[in-house]
Amino acid sequence: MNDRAARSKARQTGAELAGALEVAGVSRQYGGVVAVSNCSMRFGDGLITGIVGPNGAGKSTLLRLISGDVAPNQGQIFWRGRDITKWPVHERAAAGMVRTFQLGSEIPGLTVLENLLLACQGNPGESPIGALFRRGAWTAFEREATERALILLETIGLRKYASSFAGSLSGGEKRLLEVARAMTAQPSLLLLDEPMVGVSFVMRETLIAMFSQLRDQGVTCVIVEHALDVIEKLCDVVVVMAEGGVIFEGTMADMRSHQGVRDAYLG
Amino acid sequence: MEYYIITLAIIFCSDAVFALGLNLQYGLCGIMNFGYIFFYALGAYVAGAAALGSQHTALAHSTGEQFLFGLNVGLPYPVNVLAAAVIGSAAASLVGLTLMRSLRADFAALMSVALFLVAYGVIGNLTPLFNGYLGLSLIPTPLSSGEPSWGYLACCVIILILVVVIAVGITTSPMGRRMRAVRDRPDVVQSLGKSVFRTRWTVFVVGNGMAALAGAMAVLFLTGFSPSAWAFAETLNVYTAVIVGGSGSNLGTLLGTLLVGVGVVQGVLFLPPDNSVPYLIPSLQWVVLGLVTIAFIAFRPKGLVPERPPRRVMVDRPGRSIVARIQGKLGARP
Repeated sequence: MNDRAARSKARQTGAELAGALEVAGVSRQYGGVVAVSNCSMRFGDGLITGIVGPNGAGKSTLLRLISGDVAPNQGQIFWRGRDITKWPVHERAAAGMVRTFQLGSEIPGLTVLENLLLACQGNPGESPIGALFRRGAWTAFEREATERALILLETIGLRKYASSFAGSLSGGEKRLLEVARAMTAQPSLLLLDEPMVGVSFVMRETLIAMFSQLRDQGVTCVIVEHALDVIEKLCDVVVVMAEGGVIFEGTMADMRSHQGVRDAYLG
Repeated sequence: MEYYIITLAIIFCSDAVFALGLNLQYGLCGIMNFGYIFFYALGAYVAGAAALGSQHTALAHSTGEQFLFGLNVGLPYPVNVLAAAVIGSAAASLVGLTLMRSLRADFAALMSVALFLVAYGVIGNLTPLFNGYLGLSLIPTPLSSGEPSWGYLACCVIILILVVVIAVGITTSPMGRRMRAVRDRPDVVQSLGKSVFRTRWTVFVVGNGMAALAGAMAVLFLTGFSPSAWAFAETLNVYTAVIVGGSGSNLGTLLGTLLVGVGVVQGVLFLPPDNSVPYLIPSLQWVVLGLVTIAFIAFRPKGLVPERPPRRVMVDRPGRSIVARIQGKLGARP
């Protein structure tokens, strides 16, 4: 998408497309299969952008390129004006770019509470020196972090499982935990890969409320989803991908009448 | 009998320190280090050569023993033990820069085997370094006049207690939680902004420092050390102790060391020898160790003392959780 279209979109949605996150000409191939082809986009700062498309369109691959799980064969990725193309995953995450996973990502050997505490940044006890010689500092940090985590767990209805191993939760509960953990990491950009998979209707509404709250707090969200009703409720901007490229960017209403989108979904 | 008990106790202290270092790496952080015995050997050689350099240099040279390329680096006890731990950690910090890069555990395991083979070949053939395949001998035992001494045992117990304090302190801290997360889901840990490489490298350095410390403790008691004492199969000994006791559990590791390192290995020695099969007893040690390892992995992989169960979230009054207390402070209805 070029600059003129980006500015046009800014006027259309009334939002500031500051280009906090930008992908420029990125491509990714797996052997002979082109997963993402010369994709260029800007994601509005403080907005929720939904990425939809048929299976194999390259949605999850694009998310993985942004998060750093895979490296692009071509192109660049910018975050807040910095070229992060070669940054490793943990450095992007430490800079505020947190992702969730398409398949479950709870850490089964840790309790539900420990899964959240792991996401806290700046814990002085996460080194041997800190663990052994700064016990007072990390004990105080953990106490405060535990209180915040328990409140969050109470909000999403998982408080009673705080001491249970995360592997013992149901599928939907694991998804809630994953989102809660991502929130605990205090992201400025949240990458959500099909967060509604395996989630009940009630939990879905809870997740929608959580994402909306994050957006209201200024967090930029990029969500890959198949459920168009969720996209419609949640997203400020909708992007449609097909065969590795972007074929539409705009509102949900415009998407429904776009011929290219219809062709991509219906063949 | 007294000397035998002291001997067993010193062996237990050294083996326990060795096993605790492996438990940190393998049990808690998922690092498959099959070259672990190399760092034990490094600590033994450093402490042994330093002890020889401080007391028995002339005697050693008179028997044709060569070490440290003829340099006379003598360090008294316990400085030689400390030096062994520091040099072991330093070597691990360099080796770990490569070994801990990969996210795949099998690659790290293969590289550690390769490291062992390279080190074994170099040390065995580079005679001026540690006297080649003949190894070091005539190493003086501290606080002893030749027999196993209570004084040296007390020092070993103190070292073991310090190592236990370090191991437990790390395990029960946020560092321990991060290690377990790296073991189970390194990809998720990365996505939360925590460096998996840094975590593994740190644990690798600390754990192998403990291995070097254990080697130093052992060699000063054994008074001799050669490549036959750190053959590749010796790695099975310590892995079995950790698996049998319970990988991920410090208490389990101590129990496993007692049962395997002392119980099995020493117990086999009480079997009646058969003169027609001169290598029966040493071979039986490996047969029993191997069978025990297979049996536990197949039927009791969590070991005798599994990794600790989750701690209950604190409740300050019956029926009133921390959340309710916070809400009470904020004026909300509990």
